[in-house]
Amino acid sequence: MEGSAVRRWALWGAALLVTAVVFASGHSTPRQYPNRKLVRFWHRWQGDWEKQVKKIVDAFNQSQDQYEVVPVSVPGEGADAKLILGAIGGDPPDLMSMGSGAVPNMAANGFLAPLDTMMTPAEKVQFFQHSYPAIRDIGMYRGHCYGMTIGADLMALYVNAQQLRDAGYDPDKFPKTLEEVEAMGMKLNKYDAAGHLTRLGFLLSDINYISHDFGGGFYVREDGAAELNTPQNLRALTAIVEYRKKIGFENVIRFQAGLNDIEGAASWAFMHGDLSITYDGQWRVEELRKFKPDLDYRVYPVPPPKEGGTPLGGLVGGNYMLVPVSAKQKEGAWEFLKFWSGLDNPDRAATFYNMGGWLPYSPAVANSPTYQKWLTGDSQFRAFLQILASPNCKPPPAIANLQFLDDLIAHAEDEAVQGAKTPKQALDELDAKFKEETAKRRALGYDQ
Amino acid sequence: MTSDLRSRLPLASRLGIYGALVVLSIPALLPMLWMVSTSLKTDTQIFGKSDLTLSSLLPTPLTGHNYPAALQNMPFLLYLRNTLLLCICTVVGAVASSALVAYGFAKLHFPGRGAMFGLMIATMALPAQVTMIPIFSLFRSLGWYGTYLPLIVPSFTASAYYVFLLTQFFRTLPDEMSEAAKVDGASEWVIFRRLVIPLSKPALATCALFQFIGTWNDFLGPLLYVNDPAKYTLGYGLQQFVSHYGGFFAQLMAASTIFTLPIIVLFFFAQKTFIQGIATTGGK
Amino acid sequence: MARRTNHRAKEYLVGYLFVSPWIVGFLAFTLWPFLQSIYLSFTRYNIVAPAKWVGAANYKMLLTQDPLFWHSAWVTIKFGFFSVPLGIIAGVGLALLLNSNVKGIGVFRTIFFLPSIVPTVATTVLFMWLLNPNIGLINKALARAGVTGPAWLKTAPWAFNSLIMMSLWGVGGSMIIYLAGLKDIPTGLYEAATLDGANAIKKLRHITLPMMTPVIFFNLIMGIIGAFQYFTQAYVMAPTGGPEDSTYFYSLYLYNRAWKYLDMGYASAMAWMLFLIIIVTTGLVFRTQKRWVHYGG
Repeated sequence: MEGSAVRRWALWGAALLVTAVVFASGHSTPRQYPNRKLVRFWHRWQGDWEKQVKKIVDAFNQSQDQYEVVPVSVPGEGADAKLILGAIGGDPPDLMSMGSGAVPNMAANGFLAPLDTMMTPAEKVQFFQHSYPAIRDIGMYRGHCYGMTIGADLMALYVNAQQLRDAGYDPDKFPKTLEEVEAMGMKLNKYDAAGHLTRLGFLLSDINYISHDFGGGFYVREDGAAELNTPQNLRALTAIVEYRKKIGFENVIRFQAGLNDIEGAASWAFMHGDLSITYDGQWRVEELRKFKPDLDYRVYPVPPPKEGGTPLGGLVGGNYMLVPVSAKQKEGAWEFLKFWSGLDNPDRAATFYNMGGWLPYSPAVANSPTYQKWLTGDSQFRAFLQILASPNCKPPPAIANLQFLDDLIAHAEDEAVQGAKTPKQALDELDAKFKEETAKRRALGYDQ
Repeated sequence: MTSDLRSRLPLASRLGIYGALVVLSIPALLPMLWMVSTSLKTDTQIFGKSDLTLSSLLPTPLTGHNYPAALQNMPFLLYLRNTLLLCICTVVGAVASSALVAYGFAKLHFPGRGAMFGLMIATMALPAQVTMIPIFSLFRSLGWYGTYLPLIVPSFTASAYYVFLLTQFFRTLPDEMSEAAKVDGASEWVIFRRLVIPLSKPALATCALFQFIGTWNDFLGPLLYVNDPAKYTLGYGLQQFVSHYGGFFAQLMAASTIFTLPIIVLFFFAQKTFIQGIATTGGK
Repeated sequence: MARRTNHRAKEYLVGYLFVSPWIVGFLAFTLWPFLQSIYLSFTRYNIVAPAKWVGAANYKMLLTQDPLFWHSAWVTIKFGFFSVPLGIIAGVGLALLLNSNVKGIGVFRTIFFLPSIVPTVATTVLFMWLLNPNIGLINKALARAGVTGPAWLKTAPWAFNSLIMMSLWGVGGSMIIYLAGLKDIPTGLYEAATLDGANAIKKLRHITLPMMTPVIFFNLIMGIIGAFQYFTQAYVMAPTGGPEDSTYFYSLYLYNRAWKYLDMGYASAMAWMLFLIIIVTTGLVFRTQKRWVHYGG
């Protein structure tokens, strides 16, 4: 019968296909320098940023002849799982980039190779004494360096110069106190006929960062005692909530929900003039240069409140380069890391930092001729360097439970700005929950 | 054997049906329309605030450049080849093995049948998050890390979902039919091959379609087990456009559209297998 | 006598042979991970260090010291309570409609199948666009009717309701199964009924729906299991639980415990609690099978 003959062929064909695939899945990417030692680098940058990373990798490969770095971009959601699984599975990459929260957790469990054991004495001096303290501290755990960053993040105020001028302000003379900025913001708000916001002048948010401008911050000491529910933090959260009350909680929520702020460069609301003064990260400078070079804007550190504030406060976060302790090619990884971060050659590395608009790890890089030249084109970046160099710029607490704490803080802020809890209640709850969680972890045998 | 003998429905009911279909189609089409229209815009066009009206679904001017750009940014043919390989293998594996197992549960009797069936259903009740690590370790110790094997072999061991679905279908087939065949001396295997399979084409086609789509969309599998960019799949490739650090949204939509089109085509032409009903009179 | 038992044994053997692919798969790929996961639920395990036994501590804490456990369970149950029946009604209804013998029905079937295959990233942004509080389509339409629509995705009860609405877009998958089920109904039954003088409603009630109960049962069970494990859309929309934790589903909390806080032991305990709840619920539903599911055989 016709049908069954065809079917039989199809079945055999499928069987052959299966065998072929199972045994022939050895189609692999060829090596560029097959004789060199392989250094596997897993990172999480995609799209345009992945291209930057490739350029840096190529520059490294061309600059020496011992190692070949092969970068693999691990996309999106499963990235953390893949990195962790790869590492614990006994077949880790030699270098991987993780969020800064991973450092204490992994370091505490003997998972990462201490980088300072690979430094020469000169390099140790460079690193321990001449880097920006906040950046250096994030990668440290109990006295050793486990991660170095080539991509630290910091936030400041982006100000739309034209909109300020239209409202009668001089964008080059920015106020020195937070209260003045808030007043400015109220004047810059625009509303439609129904009373809904169409342009937001200024909005204070992200208590985790802002608390540092109020002399506060969320800290956990090494013995586990937490400083979360402090008067300074309460002032900061109250300031955030009060300002929103003036505009109206619901109004702000509606406006923010409508900002189409999908994670992607071209969508940033500031670029479209929907926000006059906004609080955002340093990577936006490079983005603005690429996507909206004609936008007239300024960058200023957040001014402290009139009383009890600390100038140039900030919280550093970002991507850190880690070397798993079971990596096969630690030396190669370290060489690449040095190359990229500029530990040995700050001027050459300046180019790399500039490619992605990343913050340099030390003033040596920032003051190098290449970097200074770039700064003339992206002069707004100076504000970030200012903050980075200030003693009020701090790293997040080096605890294994950092992610949990961050989520609690965000939750507290969410409850307060939705009007569901008062700032005091929100912070009290935050403190109580964190204590509870710490007690739980102690009971289970974790040490923090 | 399609039934052209069916009488045409009266005009009133036909109009009613068309009416309902058209009205309901609008929300159904929205995701696709939006995706395609966004892919035909430039990035700055997408996010202007005035852009949120129905008329914005038809952008002027139309920009087609996102499609070649998306194709350039991803080794499309390579990924397509890899994905097709995986899809064909897993579809063959899943349908064949699930049909066999379902027949066993539906029509055959053996001690422990009920318990096994219950156990099988139970395996769907545990969230995959917590078995991810043990399964990963298992495949690692088998030496399958870095190959396609973890993605293919399990499909040959029957998935609970398809088995359950097919069991429901097989159980609706009358016992008298297989009894008559047994009287004629047929073995279970013959009954299975020559009676049950041909009568269950819609259900089998459904399983094949779902497995194809599942493998096509699978991102986590290749992410965890494949390290070599030459082995990546389309699902993985699509994720690479979803960037947390500055992607191009219109390109992402273009890539998503390219990604979705083959499934649509497949479904449209494969529909006939669902339609191929059993137009017999009385029993089957 | 011997021949009888021989015959029986042979029958059993054939049965086992047919089911063997699943048995092999279970023993090879499922059993061990399941056992390991049970073990992990009795340990403290942060993935990067070896697991340490802590007895029932995880379960105790889960049940007595974790308000988020109860909250997320409640959110999930609420979701299932609404989305599963809605999904079944919508799916069956659509399938009945798409079973009509009119020209061009193939195109419509494809149209209704589309939403379930558009990638999540596109649908997420689409819904954020649609549900924009000030200028999204939905609120604009409501404004014409004189109603001020809420800030859908960012306010407590509405974020949850939006997710229920969105779950309806995925009804294309179950619709196909219903279609396959409908096609399986012998047309002879309908012809006989017409001869008996039955109208469309009678046919629906006495032929179509009863004959469809096997697939409805299937989708009911899978719907329950799916609702209890609902994760993806919630994760994409609001990975930290949504406004005032209103969309903090159980599986989302589990995921955060497992991969964000690296508290895998605790997450495993959560998973096995969920397992028990699902088993009990589906077990009850299975018991009711005899009463309403009609197998033609």
